[in-house]
Amino acid sequence: MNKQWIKLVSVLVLGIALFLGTQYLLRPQGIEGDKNITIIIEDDTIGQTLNVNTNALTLGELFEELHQTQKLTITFSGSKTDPFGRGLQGINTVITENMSAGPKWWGWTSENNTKCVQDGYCLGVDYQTLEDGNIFVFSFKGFE
Amino acid sequence: MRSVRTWILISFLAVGLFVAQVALASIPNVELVSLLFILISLFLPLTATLLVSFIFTILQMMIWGMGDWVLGYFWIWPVWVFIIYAFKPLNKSHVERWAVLSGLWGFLFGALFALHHGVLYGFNTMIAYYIQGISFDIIHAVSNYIITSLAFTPLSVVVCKLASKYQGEKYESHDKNR
Repeated sequence: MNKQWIKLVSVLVLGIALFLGTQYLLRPQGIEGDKNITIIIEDDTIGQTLNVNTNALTLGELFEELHQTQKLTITFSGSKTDPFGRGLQGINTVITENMSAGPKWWGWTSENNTKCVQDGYCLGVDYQTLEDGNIFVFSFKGFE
Repeated sequence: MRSVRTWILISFLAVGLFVAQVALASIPNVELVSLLFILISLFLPLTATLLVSFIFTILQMMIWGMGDWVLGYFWIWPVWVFIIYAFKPLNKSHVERWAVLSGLWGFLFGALFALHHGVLYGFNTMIAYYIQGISFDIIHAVSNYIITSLAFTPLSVVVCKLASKYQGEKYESHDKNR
């Protein structure tokens, strides 16, 4: 192996180590334990309000629970290992036809989740951590 | 006034960048565009390379749709073009220097996009966006370094041959065209 390859492999190994290190340090650090979360779905056909007690750390985990207990039917796009985690493609029968082109997508806001308020927007479901008493409002919209 | 031939060349180069971007779109932050801008800069003047970057962004917008990132592309890729031209006299055809610069650009790209988000959505969003993207900036930097290290020499040979044919004269070195 010549010098250039040693250098390239070293940079690659260093890059992988740095990537994994930052991913670990920046992982969503949710709050352990029982939490009361309110999910408000604003939609003409499937609109409803759910109050749930959960140990889930992220919104993604909460949706998995709701899907397993058949309280909601959740469709995800992509996988947890994608750069921004999974996308929320559908709730019950309201599903985004094409996640790249829409024409409508599920979006969510919260006026009392610390991270959403601090950043000015909520993160993807796998990065959005939950706090006791959080209220999340979901709506299905296109660009207006 | 540019000739029709020059406009066609600029358009084709922009399409080439776009095809390269789409080809690697499934791998986050691994791209050939940074390297291709370096190669284009070896034989095109600054204004023509800037036009390539604008047309490249317009193509992106036509295919992927309008978003805040499009506005970012309109000024961030030209920043890269300016950086390339600023470093051209220093880097000449040293592969290692271009690879390091390209790697540093991987980090700067994320920082500039965070700044872009800061201007649009506020300081907190900028910080959140930057921190969230650091790990992907690392991928961008490392992949840019490796891609430039491996592909600069073979691609620059091809580019020089094509440039010779286009201009109807022999290209002896990259430096001659500065």
